[in-house]
Amino acid sequence: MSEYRLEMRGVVKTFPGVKALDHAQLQLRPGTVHALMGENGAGKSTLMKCMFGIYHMDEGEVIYEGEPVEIKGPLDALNRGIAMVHQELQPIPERSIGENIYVGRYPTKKVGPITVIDHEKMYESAAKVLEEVHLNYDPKAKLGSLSVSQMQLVEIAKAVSADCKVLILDEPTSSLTAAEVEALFTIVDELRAKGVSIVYISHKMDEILRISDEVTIMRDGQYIGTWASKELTTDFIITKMVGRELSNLYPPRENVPGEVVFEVEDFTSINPKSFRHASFSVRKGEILGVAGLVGAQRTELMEGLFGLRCHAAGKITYKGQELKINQPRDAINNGIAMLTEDRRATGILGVLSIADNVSISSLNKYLIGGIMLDDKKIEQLVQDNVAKLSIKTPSSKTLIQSLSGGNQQKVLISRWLANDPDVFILDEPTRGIDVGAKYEIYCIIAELAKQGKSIIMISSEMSELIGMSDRIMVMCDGRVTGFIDGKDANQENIMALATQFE
Amino acid sequence: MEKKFDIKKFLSNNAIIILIAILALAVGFSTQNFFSANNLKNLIANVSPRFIIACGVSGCLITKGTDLSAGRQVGLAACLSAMLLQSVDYAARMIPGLPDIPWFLALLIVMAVMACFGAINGCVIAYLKVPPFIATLGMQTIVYGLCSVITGNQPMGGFKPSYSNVALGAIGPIPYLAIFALIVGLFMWFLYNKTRHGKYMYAIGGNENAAQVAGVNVTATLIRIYVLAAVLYGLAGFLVGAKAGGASTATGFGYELEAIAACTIGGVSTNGGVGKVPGILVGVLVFEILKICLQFLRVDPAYTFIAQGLVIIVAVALDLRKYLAKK
Amino acid sequence: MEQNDKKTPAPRRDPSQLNAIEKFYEKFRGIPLKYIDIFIIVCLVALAAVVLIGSLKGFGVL
Repeated sequence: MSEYRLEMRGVVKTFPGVKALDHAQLQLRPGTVHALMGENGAGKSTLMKCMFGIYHMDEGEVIYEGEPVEIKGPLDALNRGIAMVHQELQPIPERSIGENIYVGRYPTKKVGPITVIDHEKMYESAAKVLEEVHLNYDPKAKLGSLSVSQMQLVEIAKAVSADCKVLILDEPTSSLTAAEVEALFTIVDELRAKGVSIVYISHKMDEILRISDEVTIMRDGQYIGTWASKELTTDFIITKMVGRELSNLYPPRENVPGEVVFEVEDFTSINPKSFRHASFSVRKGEILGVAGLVGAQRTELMEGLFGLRCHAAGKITYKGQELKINQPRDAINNGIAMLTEDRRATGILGVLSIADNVSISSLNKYLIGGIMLDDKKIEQLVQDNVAKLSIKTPSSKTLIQSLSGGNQQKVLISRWLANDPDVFILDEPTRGIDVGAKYEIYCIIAELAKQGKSIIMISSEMSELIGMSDRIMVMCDGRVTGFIDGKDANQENIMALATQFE
Repeated sequence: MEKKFDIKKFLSNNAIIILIAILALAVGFSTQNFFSANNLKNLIANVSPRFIIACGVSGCLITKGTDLSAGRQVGLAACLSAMLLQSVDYAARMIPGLPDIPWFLALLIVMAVMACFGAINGCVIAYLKVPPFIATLGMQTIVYGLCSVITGNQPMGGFKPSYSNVALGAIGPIPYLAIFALIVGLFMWFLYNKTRHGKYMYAIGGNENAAQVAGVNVTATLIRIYVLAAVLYGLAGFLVGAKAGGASTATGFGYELEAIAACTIGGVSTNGGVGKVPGILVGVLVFEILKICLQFLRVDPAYTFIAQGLVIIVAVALDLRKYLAKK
Repeated sequence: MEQNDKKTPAPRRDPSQLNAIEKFYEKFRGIPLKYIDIFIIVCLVALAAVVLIGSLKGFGVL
């Protein structure tokens, strides 16, 4: 019998236009914590879904405990002892915790000829399970009464309760507090001691290096390699995940910042806990990075400038002229564009086509006789942008929600470019985008700066800020705490300013 | 595996349409006069005003709203039209001193008046951010109350011949009613597909926040939608009055329910952001054909009412199912 | 259709994004689709019954 409890070999999975998995593989030993790492889009979740039977593999095999198997779905996997805690929770808040834990596999009993749910047994088992993972919630309480992080712990309890041999944790700590992360690690240690194989998918380097025994790295759907954790460093992992030497992550920039064109003075929110007395300026052809911790109110400040939030005081000037901005349309008419942080919530018009998404902000330019839309000109606009920004899409009529994150972002950039803005605010422009597309977007940003546009870029990725900014503005708790010149910027001085609480 | 999925999906998406088609065929082959020119004319006459109403409601539905005041607005419009267009020599004339008004002038006046109600709906929903369900529910009662007051709860009849003729006349084989519906249909199709307003409407329906960020003037678009809806109710009320030869405070009662259900059947998802004009026509046809089938089957009116209610419930349940399955 | 980045079945949208009808639909979130299908079929059977009985009544049979 092989030393591996679970093996996946030669897995290939293609979706229309995208090769999600290209001969990927995975080997799990019993009693091990095996980390699975890769950038967004590397194929980690897809590989797990193939194992779980949620997706059907085009090629490849799964070998479980020495035998090739075909897993038909999550319940089948669960019955074989393979459990998964998903990254995005699917809780039923209206129902009790116990019901959520046993959803789909309620313990039953017979009352005469009818089979009903055995509530007593369910709550008894649920209580035991919760105890096992050191959670003292009342299994009869409604799931919705818990906080998001507590719900995530219940999800983990659910997987553990299935008495599994393989446990897959997909970004389990994304909503947990530090204390809860410790609790999770305790559970993981206990499971490892019991001989369970644990797959730990995460972006967080420090967690991975701490808790895992082995690390498998994937990139663009391919298997890159497996290493013992104690031999790894953060830099090595990043290089393997990204496929490029750290020095080549960002394109060369040819922009030459000119005179100051955009000035913000004493900008203060109507919410006293939000941004206050923010003042800064941006030059023509300059990329101003905006750094800060979560909660620093960077997004809020930019939304305020764009007219999405109300401000109590402050002045915005462009080329010496004061701008009155009370809603996005005012900002747009004054040549400001904003790529929002959460493109699914406030960016893309998901159920509309790419053509609609690209043209929506500039329809006034494509009219026949002032009333009728000129579809031909709009199509031309779309094609021009598809070519210019390398947007991968079957056609202009495709719904934007079926595009990858990177391509969606490019469509949104096209939307703004159609109005030829002078100031471009980008809020986490490369969040949730795969490696290849990230580089393309950096190139686009660099090109825009070269053309003389002023770019304001909020980012939480230190290396991105340092790699792309001419100057960095740092915020802390709603205040602008300082500016750092691009060439002097490093992790330490940025963090110093980002943690300068009053 | 692929093919099986297709048929199942097709069936569940178009279940009601298929059912009614089967019913119509069954009735047609087992009764007299179903497949006749007269019946067809009848169908077209019934469909036309209902289609216009459904077109009005569709804009509200597409932007994730609703308009529960549609029916009562139609009623008010019918009553106003009646008041303006009774024969000069009619004994029980509502406004005794009123001079003889050409019907198209009366129509314009009625549409202008209804537009005001639409504007109020639109402002309350867009500026005061009152949920459309509640705003239009309130408007429904207000309109009914106004109608009662204006007409003194007295049913009206005795229309001048040129008004009645709007409903009875035709150009060749095509009834005037159908021409009104056709013009409205073409206008709506153009508006929804070839104008900025249409794009903004679908954008708001798809994701109102994203539309706002993209610079769409959400308040203006919403107000236009409810005003247009009201104008269409005005036209429909005018036609309904002519067709019935009379109008009262009871006119139009419950029309919104059927209009919304027709839109739902026709693919204007309550999820917003989707919905095409031909679909609206199909939805309205389904209901009118159902009604005619039941008539031919001599179904008792009370039972007809129940049957229609069941169709509405099934339409909503199917839409609910589609919503839950998607997520 | 999958994308290259992380996108599992759409996450539950927060209540502020839903309209009245969707809030109503969300109440049925916990019920398996099977039961809704059964409900639909029951309604259709009821519809057929109503039409049949109403028609028979109309013809004076019942």
